[in-house]
Amino acid sequence: MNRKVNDREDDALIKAFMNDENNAFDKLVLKYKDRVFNLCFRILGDYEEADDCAQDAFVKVYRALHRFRFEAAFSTYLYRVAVNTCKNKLKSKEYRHSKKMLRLSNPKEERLHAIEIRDESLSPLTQLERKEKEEIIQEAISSLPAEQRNLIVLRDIEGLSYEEIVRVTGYKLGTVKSKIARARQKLRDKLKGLV
Amino acid sequence: MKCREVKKRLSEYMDGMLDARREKLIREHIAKCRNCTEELRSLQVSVNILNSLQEIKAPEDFLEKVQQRIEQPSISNRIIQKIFLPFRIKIPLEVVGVAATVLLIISIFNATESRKEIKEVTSIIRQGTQKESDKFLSRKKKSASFPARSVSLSREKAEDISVGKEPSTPASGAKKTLASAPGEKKMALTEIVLLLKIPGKGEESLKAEEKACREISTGISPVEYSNRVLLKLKEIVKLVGGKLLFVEYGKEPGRVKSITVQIPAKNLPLLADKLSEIGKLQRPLSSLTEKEEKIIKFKINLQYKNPVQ
Repeated sequence: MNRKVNDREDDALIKAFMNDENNAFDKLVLKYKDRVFNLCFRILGDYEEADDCAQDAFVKVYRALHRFRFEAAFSTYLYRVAVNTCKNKLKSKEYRHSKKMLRLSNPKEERLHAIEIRDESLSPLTQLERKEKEEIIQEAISSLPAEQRNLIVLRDIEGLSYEEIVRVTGYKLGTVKSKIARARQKLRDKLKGLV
Repeated sequence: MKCREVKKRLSEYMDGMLDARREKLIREHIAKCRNCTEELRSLQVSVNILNSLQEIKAPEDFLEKVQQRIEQPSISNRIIQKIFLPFRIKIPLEVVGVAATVLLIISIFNATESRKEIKEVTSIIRQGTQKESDKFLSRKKKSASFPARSVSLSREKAEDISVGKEPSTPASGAKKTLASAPGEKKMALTEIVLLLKIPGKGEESLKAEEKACREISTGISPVEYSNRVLLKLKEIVKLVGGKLLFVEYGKEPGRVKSITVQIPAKNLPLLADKLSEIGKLQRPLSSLTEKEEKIIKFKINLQYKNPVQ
C-alpha cells in the first residue's frame, strides 16, 4: 500500500477515535498488532515479554491519542512508543534478573518457543530445519548491544527508512548509519555458518 | 579509496545512502577488489537473512487483552483512587497541593516569629538593662498584628525571665488591668501588697518565721536579697500548687516589684500562712475569693520595709 494512502487512513481512524468512535482504535490495533508484536519479539527475544510490551505500547498510545497532533505518521509514533517500552523493559532489574535465571535453567527452549513455522507446504523436516535456523538468527540478534539491536530490527526486519528510524529513535542520521553498519558486520560474523 | 574505508561504507552503499561521488568511488573499487566484493556479498546475504525472517504473529486474543488493560485504570489513577478512597467526593490534587502549601507557609511563618521573640527576650535577659526592657515592652504593646501564639509563648516563659517596668505604677490594693496582648481578653487583676519583713543583724530570740526571713536576708546586697525573695516566693507558689505567671521588676535594676500568680482557691489559706513567714500582707487573701472561682489569679506587690545595706 502506498505510504501516503496508508497514513491518510490512519489519520482518519485517529480523528474518528477523537470523535469517540470506539471501534476506531480497535481497527488501529488490528492493523498494527502483528508488526508491533514482531518488533517487540525481535528486540526482546522472548514471546511472553513481547506480548506484554506490545500490549503496553498500545495502551500507552490509547491514553495519549487524544493529544495526537498529526505532525508525524501514526506508524512512526507507534513504533517510537513500542521501542521505548522495550527499552524500559530491558533496563528493568526485574527483567534482567528473570533473563539470568532463565538462562541458567533452560538455555534456549523457553525464550524461543514461539518461533513456529506455520508453512503447511513444507515437510516436517524442512520446518524443523527452518525453525532451528530462525532460532540461530534470533540468538545472533539478541547478542547485539541494545541500541544496535533496536536499529537493525527497525531497518533490516521492519524495513523502515533511515529517516523514519531517525524519527523513531531520536538519533542523528550519522549515528544511525554507523550503528547499523557495525551491527551488520557483527551479525555477518555471527551468522557465518548460514551465510 | 582504500579497502578499509570501503568496508566501512559498504552498509550505506548497500542502502543507497552515499552521495554520488562516494558511491562512484566505491563502485569502481569493488569492481577491481575481490576481497571487498566478497565482503559486500556476505553483508547482503546476512541482511537478506534478516529480511526473510518470518513475522511472529501476535496472539489471537491480543485485541481483547489490550481492551482489558485499557479498561483498567492507569497506575497513577489507581494510586490517586487509593489515596482518596475513604472520601465520597474526590478532592482534586491541585486543591490538596494548594492547601498543603498554605499550611506549610503558615507554620514556617509562626515558627520564625516565635524564634524572633525568644531571641529578643533572651537578649533582654542577657543585657538586663532597663532601656532594652522598656523598648521591648512598648513594641509588644504597639504591635497589633502580633500572633497570639507568640505572646502566649512569652508568657509561658515568664517564670524564668525578667520583664521591664510598666509605665504606670500601680496603686497598692487597687484593682488594675494588666497590659495584655492584642486578641487576648483583658483581665482585671486583684492586687495585694506584701510588706517584706527584714530583721536586723544581731537580733536575738527570733521567732520561727523571722528566722526564715533572716536566712534569705543576712549580709547581702538589695538585688541579691530581691532575688532570694523571688526564689522563696517561687517555692511557696509551687508548694501551694500554683503557678508564677509574671515577674515585674522595679526602677532599681534587678529588684522585683511584683509577681503575678495563679493559685487554687482552696490553697489560699496555706499561701497566706507561708507568705506571712517572709512578710505581712496588707489585706487578707480571703478577700480574693469573692467570686467563688476555683483558681484565683492575682498580683502580689512587694514592698521592701528595711532595705538591706
